[in-house]
Amino acid sequence: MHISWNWLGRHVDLTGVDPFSLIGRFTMAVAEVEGVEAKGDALGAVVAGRVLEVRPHPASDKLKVARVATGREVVEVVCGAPNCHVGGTYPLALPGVVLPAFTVEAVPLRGVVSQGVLCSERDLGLTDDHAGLLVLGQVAPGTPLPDLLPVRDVLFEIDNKSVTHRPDLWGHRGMAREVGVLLDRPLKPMTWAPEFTGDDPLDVQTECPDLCPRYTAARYRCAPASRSPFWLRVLLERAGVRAISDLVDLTNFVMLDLGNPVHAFDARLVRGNRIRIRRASAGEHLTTLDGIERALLPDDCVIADGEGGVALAGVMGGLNSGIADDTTDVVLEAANFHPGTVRRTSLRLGLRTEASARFEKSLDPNLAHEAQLAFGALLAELKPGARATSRLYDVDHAPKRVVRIFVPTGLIEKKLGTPLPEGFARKVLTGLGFGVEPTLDGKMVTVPTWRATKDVSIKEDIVEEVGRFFGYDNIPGATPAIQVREPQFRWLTEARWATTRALVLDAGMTQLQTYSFASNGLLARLGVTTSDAFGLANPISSDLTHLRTALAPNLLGVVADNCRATDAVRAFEIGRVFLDTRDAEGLPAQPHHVGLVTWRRDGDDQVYFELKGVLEGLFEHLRVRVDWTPGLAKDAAPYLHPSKSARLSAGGRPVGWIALLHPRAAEAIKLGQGRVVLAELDLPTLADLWQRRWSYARLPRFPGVRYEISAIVPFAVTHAELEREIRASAGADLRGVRFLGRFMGAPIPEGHTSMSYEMLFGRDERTLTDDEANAVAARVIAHLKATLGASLREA
Amino acid sequence: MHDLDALRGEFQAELAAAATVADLDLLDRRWVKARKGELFGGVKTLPVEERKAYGQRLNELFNAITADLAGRRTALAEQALARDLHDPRFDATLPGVRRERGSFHPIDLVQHHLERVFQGMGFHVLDYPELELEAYNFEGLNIPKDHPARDMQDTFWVDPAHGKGLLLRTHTSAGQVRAMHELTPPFRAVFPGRVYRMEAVDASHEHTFHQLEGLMIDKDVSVANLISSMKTLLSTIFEREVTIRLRPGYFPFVEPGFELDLKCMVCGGSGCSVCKQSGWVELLPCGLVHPNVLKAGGLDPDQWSGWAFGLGLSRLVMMKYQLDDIRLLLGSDLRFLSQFSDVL
Repeated sequence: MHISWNWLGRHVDLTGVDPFSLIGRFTMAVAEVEGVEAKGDALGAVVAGRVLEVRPHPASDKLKVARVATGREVVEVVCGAPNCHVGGTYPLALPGVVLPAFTVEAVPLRGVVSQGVLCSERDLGLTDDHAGLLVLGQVAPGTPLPDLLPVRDVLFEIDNKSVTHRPDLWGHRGMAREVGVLLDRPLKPMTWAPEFTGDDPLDVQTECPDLCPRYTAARYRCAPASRSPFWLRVLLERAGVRAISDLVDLTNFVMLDLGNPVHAFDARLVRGNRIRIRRASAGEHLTTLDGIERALLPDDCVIADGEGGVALAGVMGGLNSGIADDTTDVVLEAANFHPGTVRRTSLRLGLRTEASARFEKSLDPNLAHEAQLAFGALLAELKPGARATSRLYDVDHAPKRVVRIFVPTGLIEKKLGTPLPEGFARKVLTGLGFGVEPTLDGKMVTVPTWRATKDVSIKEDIVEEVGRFFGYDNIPGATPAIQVREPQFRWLTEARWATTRALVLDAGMTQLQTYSFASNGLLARLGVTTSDAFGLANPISSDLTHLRTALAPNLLGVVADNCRATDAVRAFEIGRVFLDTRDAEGLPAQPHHVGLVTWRRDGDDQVYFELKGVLEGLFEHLRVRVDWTPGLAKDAAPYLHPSKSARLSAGGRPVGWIALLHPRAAEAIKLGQGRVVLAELDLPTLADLWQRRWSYARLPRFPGVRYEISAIVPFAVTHAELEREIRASAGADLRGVRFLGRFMGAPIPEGHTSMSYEMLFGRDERTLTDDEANAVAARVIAHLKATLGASLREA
Repeated sequence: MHDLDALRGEFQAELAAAATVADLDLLDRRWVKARKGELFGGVKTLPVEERKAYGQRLNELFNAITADLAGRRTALAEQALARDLHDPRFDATLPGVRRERGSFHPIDLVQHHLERVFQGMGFHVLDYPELELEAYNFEGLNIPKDHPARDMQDTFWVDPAHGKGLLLRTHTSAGQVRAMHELTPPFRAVFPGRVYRMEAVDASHEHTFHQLEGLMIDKDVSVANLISSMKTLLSTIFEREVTIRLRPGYFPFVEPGFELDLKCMVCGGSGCSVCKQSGWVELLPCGLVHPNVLKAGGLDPDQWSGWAFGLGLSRLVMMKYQLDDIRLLLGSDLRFLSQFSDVL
């Protein structure tokens, strides 16, 4: 919002104060000043010029040539304005003067040299009025313009977001109060005292005092609309509001001055001279001032006359009741409306106005009354003969609570952490309008009504009032007393970092983060049809409507995005997925998963074993013994290969899975060449199974004996089974077994492979004899034959 | 009888032709191992009076051969060593043989660093839900219904058919009340993580980004404590002395509340495009914890007080690496991601 320095001067004495010196302190104490603009500095060079003579321009019907006295000389000026009259005094800008739109030069206009410019308000950058020259009245030629009119000003641009919590700062008076405290100068008291006597009828009643805590109205009579005086138009312009005509301008002025919106009805259109404040009826419609018909709900507050709605309370007036250029009989509403109601109505209809923006911030109901008085007083000042023609109707249901806060001695200094000068807190608080009464053990602070609607209610709020004017920069830092306590380790967090490090530094993979949303388009292409995922009521797009239940699809998306530009993608993500099970609090389970993917352009099924190797390394780092079961669970995702895959478990608990991408899925996401393998693990389970305590394996003192076997088995027999049976049958004499490789094809029978292992036999207490080693080997071989139908390959 | 001089000559010729250790081994086998026995055996065929002299001359011959072979071996070895020490073909700067090199995500790098920094100062590191109950994200933080901060435009709400009062947390502050329930005061804790806001995505806005919340609860915590703690924290994070200032800021969950600004480290405060000519960069909101929030956390505001701050982690990452587009962070461009080769 724009705050005008001159306008502030109506409420607090600013003589001798440089506005620029206040910017820093204002920002630090009140609200953020985003920008400061000096207006009209260049206009010091514009002077009053009296027209001595006017003659028609030889080459143009629309132009005239005037001889103008500048106080020092007489110059010739070409002028196209309709009101350039002999004897008139207007602003004259001589060559060299910098006007907002151009710099004045002595140039020929249609053949006649113009030695200056006679100016309109728009030429001077004051308002956008360009209907004619600005008339200065009887003043001496050569008088500088700033001496005649308030053309110079300084505008502060305040960030609205920094005052959302201060309903009292949405008008110049409230801002002036703050400036007054900064300058230690008092606020000028409000002395409006118009008379409200008169018999014009007006019947004001409310049916919903909860939606409208206070409603004041009065009737006024005045001359029809005319142009507002210069001072009013220029202040409105500074505040960013276009001047229209005096009545309209006055309502805007009161709003920007006191912060309470007011609304003017044409009394002829307030049918029956009745004002009713009520809820809208179901199905009621109202056409607002912008010409749009609005469908109303019983939650909306409506101002109605004897026959129907005439305004949407607190938001916008109705088209059928607003003032026009010929209005001479006005009903002026200055009211206060329930903030939540105004907000809801405004949001629902998508109708945000200067009025609704203020009412939704919880204005002080007393301000409505002040605004009515201000309007009455200013109207009389502006339009000769204007006066109130009725009583002041004040329907006041606002709760008359007085908010008093007890502030114990020393609290403010304790909370701020610094001593304060004697009397400082009292001076600041009284300057802001708070009442301060000392008690035995502190102060009883009375909160002014304009701060009591929701902003100030507890003693900490008082601390802030004093602190911000003391200046937080003036508080030296004080180290808090530190207690040394046991650090609390969260093993899930530690497991996350350990896993991240292992995958990046050991396995050389790229870590990434993807959205928590699942892409519907991608899931559809991957053949995922059912969804138990959480849907959003207001998703960011129609593609990202649900939360992810797995990391794998997003990882596939990353591969698809990069597969044309690179030959391999090896990446992982650790992040939450969102599952449809609830805990005691009703909160959905949202465990961290570790999702991994590997794609190689020249890759084949081997990529599966490459990623399996990465997982094996990770599990070794975490010391978790994992069992691999071929195939996936029945409810596994359709884009995963049903057989070139495995389920992982440890200690009987599921840990995750690994799988090649189903060929159909690879085609659906257009991966082209290569093969993709995916894996996903549950991090909390891994963190739980992470073994950090273990003892080292003593180094054997006696050498072992190596024994190689090759077992020929049908395809269905897996390495995991063979290894398991080898260990089971070899017993304690087995120090280790190592897979050497496998062989298929002649002379191995069809449907079979030859699996080779190196077994290491040995004892702790002595060396095994060859016979003993052979016996163990024989036992193993017999067992494999018996349990797995293996036959031995002749060496 | 053999002409020993001729033999000697023959040997010398073959020795001269020998170029490698293998050649010498061959010579050794042929001359010493093979012929020595034969030649010494031939002594028996000589008349007795000639045997001694011949035998002596044979000894001399084979001693010489052995010595020559040894000498030659040594010479070859020295040549090989010299060649090895001065091999011009060896380029020490050729690229090494590489394994695939991984990289961390920049957010994880910064988050991990901050967690370690805070742990070093006695902070617990906690982790709270992202899909959260409305009560923790709003009411518990003194943001009642109808508050402008709860505008439908900003929050991602879960479809009520899937769950009532569930949302994606809009700030890590949602963990403050949880932390107060979980930990016994006095305590210090940080809880970083993802937050979500309904925002149109562009170069400086994302709907999914990261924050780090800090909370300290103790007796008689003051604004002066907050100033000191934030200065220490920020100096540690940025690894240099920082100048800060507190401006009044309004947030429902702190009172007094502040915007903490950092003196621009790019221009030193004189004004530049990074700090929009003001000399200060707006860094984080902070303040003393509002009594209503303490109460929601089960603490008596007359006994306990605290300060809290919310650090924009994504923004910090952007500042640290001079990123010009926030969308890179949750994007899939490997050319960007693979640059972060630092260690965690």
